[in-house]
Amino acid sequence: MKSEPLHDMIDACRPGHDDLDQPEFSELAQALSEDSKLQRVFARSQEFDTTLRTTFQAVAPPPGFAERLLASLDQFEEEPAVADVETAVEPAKRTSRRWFTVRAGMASLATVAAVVSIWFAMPQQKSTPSDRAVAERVDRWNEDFDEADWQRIADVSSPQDFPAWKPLELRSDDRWQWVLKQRTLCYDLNMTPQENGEIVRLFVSKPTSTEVFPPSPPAGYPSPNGWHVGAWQANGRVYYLAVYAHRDSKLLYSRVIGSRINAA
Amino acid sequence: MSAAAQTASSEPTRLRELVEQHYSAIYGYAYRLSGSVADAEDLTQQTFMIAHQRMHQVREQDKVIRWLYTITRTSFLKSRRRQRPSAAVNFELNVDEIPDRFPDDCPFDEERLQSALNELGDEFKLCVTMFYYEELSYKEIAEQLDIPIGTVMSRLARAKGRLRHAMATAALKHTDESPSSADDQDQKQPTPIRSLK
Repeated sequence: MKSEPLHDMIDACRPGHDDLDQPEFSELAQALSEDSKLQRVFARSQEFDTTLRTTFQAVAPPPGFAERLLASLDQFEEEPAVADVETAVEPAKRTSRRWFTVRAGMASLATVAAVVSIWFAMPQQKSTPSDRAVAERVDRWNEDFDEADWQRIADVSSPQDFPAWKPLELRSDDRWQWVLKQRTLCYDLNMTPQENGEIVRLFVSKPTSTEVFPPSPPAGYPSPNGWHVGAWQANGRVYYLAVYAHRDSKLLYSRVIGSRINAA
Repeated sequence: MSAAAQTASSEPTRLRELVEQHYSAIYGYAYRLSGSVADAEDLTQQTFMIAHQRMHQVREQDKVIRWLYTITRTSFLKSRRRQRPSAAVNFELNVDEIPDRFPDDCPFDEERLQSALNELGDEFKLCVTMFYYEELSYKEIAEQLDIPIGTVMSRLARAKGRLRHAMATAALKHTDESPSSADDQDQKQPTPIRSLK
């Protein structure tokens, strides 16, 4: 019998609760009934957990905190909501000076629009962004998630655009969410087996008129935030693979792309 | 007075009651997660402000504290969004370093615990705080964090390994520093408690 899962189970048993009676701990309960050494380990673990739990919960707020908190919440309640303020303000009368400003603004906007149109009409030379630029871009995206916005594949089917490559199959535990105001789709993939909280994310976006990427995953580049990132372009989409591992992000990245991810 | 008006006028009272009942628990939770008094105060304040705005979401009064913990946790994660992933932490545990019995006056106080916690990555810190502070089961933690059960078990085991190591180091240091008799020293010699991993 492997001891590691048993020790993980021991660590998951809360002292003073009936965890050991639960069906998922039956293997541990059985092992405990047969192994006196394991019983001692279990007893020590429970003792440790009890001590630690007491220390964990022994946090006292600083003196006067309750009063400060209540005062700040009272103030919060008294301040009118932004919407209330807006509706309370009478609309200002439009003076001729104001109309002049509006007209001047519109003329400026028209000029800018014309310049932009000419710019886009000119033939653009596409270039491949540097590895570092790609890595920093993905770092910024990785900082922009809202934990509450994740949707599980099992709960809500994801938008399309997931590449049809075997090493990156979607599973029901995987999650997705839009980033960059729905311009980029991010898949948060569960690695199997789960190890050390490793993170594998695939960002999917539309190609731009100025950038071009290699047709298959490159060797990648370490990002300033410790991820290993690589981007490629296929099927009218740009894919950014971002991998984070506590010990070696590059190793995990190569494990993912080492499965011969080729353009479909 | 209409029902709506009654509800509106009772909101401040309800908020005050909510704060008075739970501010201490929420502060403690926020402190364990953030590791600083100032951040814990901010997180607590933010939690109650959000709670005030979403008071209508509360259906079951006996689950209010769980709801507040969730708000605190989400606010904490949002505040950390702009921070780098935590640096790799050495989770290796030398079981020979763990004393069989910790001295009663072990100096592993809550400050030492907090400094050990601060060294953990957020994902480990969350699991271990939910386990010890909220006393959630690993299944409940998995549900709340929306991660696989196996990941919770693994994170718990590793985080606890790190805390044990910190606790053992503190206890050993204390043993070395304490003037005591030879008999006492014999009793405090570290002995392995388990051979794991």
